[in-house]
Amino acid sequence: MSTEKVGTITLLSNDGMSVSVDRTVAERSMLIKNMLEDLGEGAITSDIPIPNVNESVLKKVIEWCEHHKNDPPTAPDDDSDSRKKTTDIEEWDQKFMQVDQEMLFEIILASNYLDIKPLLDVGCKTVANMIKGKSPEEIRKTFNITNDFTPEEEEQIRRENEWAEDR
Amino acid sequence: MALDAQSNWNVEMSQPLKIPIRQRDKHSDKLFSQEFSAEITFMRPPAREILLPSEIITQILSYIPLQKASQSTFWSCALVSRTWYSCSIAFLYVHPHLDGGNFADFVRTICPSKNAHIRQSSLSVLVKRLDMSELVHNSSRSLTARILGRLKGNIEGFVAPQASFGINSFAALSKCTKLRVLDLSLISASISNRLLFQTLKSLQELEILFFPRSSSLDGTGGETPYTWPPKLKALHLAGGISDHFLETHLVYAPQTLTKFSIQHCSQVHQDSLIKGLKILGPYLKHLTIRHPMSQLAQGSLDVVLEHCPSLIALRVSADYLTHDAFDSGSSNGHPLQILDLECSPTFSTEMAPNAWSLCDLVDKDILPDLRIIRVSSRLRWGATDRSKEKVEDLEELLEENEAIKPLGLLTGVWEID
Repeated sequence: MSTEKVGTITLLSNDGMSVSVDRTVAERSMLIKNMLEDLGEGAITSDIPIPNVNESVLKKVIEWCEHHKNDPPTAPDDDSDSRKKTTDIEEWDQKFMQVDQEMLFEIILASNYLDIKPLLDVGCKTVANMIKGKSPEEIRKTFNITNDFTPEEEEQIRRENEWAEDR
Repeated sequence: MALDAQSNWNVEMSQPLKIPIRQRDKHSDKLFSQEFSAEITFMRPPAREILLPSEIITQILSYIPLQKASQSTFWSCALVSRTWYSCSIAFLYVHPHLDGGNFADFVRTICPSKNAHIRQSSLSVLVKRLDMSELVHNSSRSLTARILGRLKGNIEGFVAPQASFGINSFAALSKCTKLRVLDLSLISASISNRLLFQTLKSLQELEILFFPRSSSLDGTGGETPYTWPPKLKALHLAGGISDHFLETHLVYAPQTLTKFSIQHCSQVHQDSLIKGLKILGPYLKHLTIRHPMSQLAQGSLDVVLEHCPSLIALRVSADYLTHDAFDSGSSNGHPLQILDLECSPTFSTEMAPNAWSLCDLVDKDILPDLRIIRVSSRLRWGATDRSKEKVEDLEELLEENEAIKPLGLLTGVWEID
């Protein structure tokens, strides 16, 4: 245990709230990890601002990092097919992702910004699973997306891609 | 270009939608909802729209498998919004699943006009693989050629339809220079090998080739070896392959060839096949020799592993093996890891490899790396209590060897139908 880097750091959310977190947990975020390495040991006493993430989302993300703090680190550029083959999500993560749509998208955006690849993957897989088999209108409703096509555009897309429509 | 009104309409309507990928004003959306929620904290604000950047939507879509069942999902995504359209349209077209029900509509989008010079649908460039295997009489020879003509610059994989693939299709096919996978196995018409190899000449990127099941004999002559695609990795032969073909042409296949399969070749004899394997064998990792191969006899392939010293997977019909199969007597050990033993319905299993002979091979370290054995239920390995016991012994041996030298494979003996 003595070799482990201990210590707590404080993150500052964009709505001005301080959130304390173990350094090892926070370092699931590559952004924070790199930042801490750049700053060196001395500078860690000050708060680290996370300008793109609000308190509730930040807490949720930290909850995930806490649970996954002992996961083996992901390979630096593991963009290979093996990762993309499956939409399987482990049980804890499935429960974790049972949040409203707004929070789900916020978690995805935050994990993208904070560079937490495994969390981003879980978020994207969750959305992918929710999309499967849905109609365009159902997708818009589920994810609160505005239809910004003109009627003519929509008509043309329908006509062009009629071959792929489920009939 | 004198076009009638209908053609004009078709052409115009085939113009794929040009959607500017613009980011909407996120800022104002957010501001509004924040103000709103701050004022009325006890009321849940109406859900605000959170816009995901395109790269994240693309990542989400990349988790949806490119299966037939997903096609309608990608279709739905294309109709959600402009950003979703621009992310999903490539997924929708990369590997279209075509059948009798949607083929005509697909053609209307991809090649709206017979006149190839009129316009190119910009959706057609998104198609990377054209699989016409589920079409029977929905296409025509000229239409197949026309589609290939439209897609020639971009497709990397093509599965030919059973009917409606003719000589004119070969001309178009030869221009699909990016092809890496070419599957002609379904073609029912007889195809001349000479014509096929003329086409192959321009397919320099080809890696996987399935021969037509009824490729025809070219008669005598043809002593000049055919030129093979230089990067060929996998070759699946069937049909009118002769001994002459194996001895004159196959032996010049490139050394990149690591997967080879042959079946349904009623004119291939043991000598030529073994001669071919002697030359290709040193490079092969995967080999399949399946019934019906009417000129092969039981025992014809007993020596197959000696000619293929690098093989890691072998799938073979037991029809051509005896229980002395693979027993080279050499204890150098062959690297084979996976063995599939199949068998034709009419085969008498008496002399075939059994659990005893396999146990012996593993025990004597002739096949020290063997981990997985799949065996046809027709070979009746589980028919008696004694043979069941022997299979269990065999499984133990496989497991022990995996413990000594882990190859990361799940060991065992499986019966397959």
